[in-house]
Amino acid sequence: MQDLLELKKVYHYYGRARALEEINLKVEEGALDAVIGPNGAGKSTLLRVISGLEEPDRGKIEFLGERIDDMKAHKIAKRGIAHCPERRRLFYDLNVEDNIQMGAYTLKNKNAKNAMKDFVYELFPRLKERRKQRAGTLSGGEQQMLAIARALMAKPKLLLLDEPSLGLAPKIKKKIFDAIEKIKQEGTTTLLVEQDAVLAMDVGENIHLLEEGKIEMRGTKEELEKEPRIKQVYLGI
Amino acid sequence: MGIILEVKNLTKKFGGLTAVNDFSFEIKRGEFVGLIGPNGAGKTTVFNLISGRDKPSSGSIRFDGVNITGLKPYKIVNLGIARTFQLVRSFKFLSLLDNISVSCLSKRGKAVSKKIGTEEYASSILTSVGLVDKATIPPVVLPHGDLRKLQIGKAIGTNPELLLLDEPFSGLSHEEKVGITDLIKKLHADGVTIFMTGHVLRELMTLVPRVIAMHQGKFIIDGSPEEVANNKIVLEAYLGRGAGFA
Repeated sequence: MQDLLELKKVYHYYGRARALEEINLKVEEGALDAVIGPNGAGKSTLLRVISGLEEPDRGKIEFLGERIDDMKAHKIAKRGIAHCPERRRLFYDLNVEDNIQMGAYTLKNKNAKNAMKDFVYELFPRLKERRKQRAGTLSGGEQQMLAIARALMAKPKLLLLDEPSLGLAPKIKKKIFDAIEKIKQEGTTTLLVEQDAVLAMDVGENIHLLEEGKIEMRGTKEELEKEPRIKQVYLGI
Repeated sequence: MGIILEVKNLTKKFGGLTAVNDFSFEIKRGEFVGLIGPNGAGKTTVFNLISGRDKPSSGSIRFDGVNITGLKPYKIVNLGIARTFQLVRSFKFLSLLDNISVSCLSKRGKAVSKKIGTEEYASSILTSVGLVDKATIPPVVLPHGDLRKLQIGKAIGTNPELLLLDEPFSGLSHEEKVGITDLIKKLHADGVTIFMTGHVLRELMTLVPRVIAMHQGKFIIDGSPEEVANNKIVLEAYLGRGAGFA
């Protein structure tokens, strides 16, 4: 399979604090890759440099063979990368349907828009039931569903998901992750960052372990499952 | 060794959320203890309750045998507890020396500054946190690691017996972390009882001999770093439900 996304020796700093160090990462077309790691490892920053919310201080990022590391976020979005941010960041005063419509901002074709809307409502029937409800009044799980639905509406070639399990009860987490698997089966390439290593390893085909801005290890679930290093990275010893 | 801090059945509710739930522990004088837990576990709230920033919903806190539950922060500082915050704040346009001098003028700080002079005292603190060569400059121009040292210096200026350090390593580069680690070790060797939080664990778990873990406001385990890191509930809290890899 062709590489959709490739990061080459990417570095990013906040002031003097190093957030990302020499990140090399390839995501193949159609894959579901997961980046795990404890709080502060640099997971969100990684997604932010890909989607252009931060410009990396060094290194190259290529998407479909084109360099995007110096491109503005809105242009990167147009190229086909959708970023579902940490803590959802919905339009809380708009209703569910309007939030979903906003996600399709880059999509000009009306039929494509409607087809995507049907898909996300099928994926999350709950959202269809609540489509006239204000987003701010949804439960945490429903808000997460809406954030994912909104990102999908752009019909992305690459979906970036930041910490979709955050603050959710185990049962709801499971629902969200079932949906993530379905999105993958529909053919959307996905890069997921997630603190919950167990959940992420269940869905991810390739797992990357991030520690203090560096990729410490990678492999499949089977390869990493018995790895004491993961526990060390999370718990310090 | 006597008990310096006794926390009993401490509970703090914010509306419907119980941030700290029936939490109890003791710290002996001279100890070096870490408080860990994943994001949102309630660590900072525990510090806010001990230092008087928030009032507990129920439960008690005794310092050196004195009930300090719900006292104002300045009274607690005057009894001998100082703390630092996760986000560094300083008097941006005062010199570093003046920044420290402010806390040297607190009640307990004065006990020392009266004897040796405020400037002398502040200057000795700047030396011990490694900032004495920057005494005349204001904090606005300092890197993050120096600001963290300054913050610890300000806490020491109040001449505390118990020092609470909230996330002293967050946002620091590797070199800066080493500097802060050395500083904390030195303070402990000087006799200050230290209680510190951390959600990034590498430094903390290798620094302290004793760790208390909490999750969702509740006590999980109190033990050596190894015991805590191998506890099933701790593993699941950090890595996710059903975490088997150990």
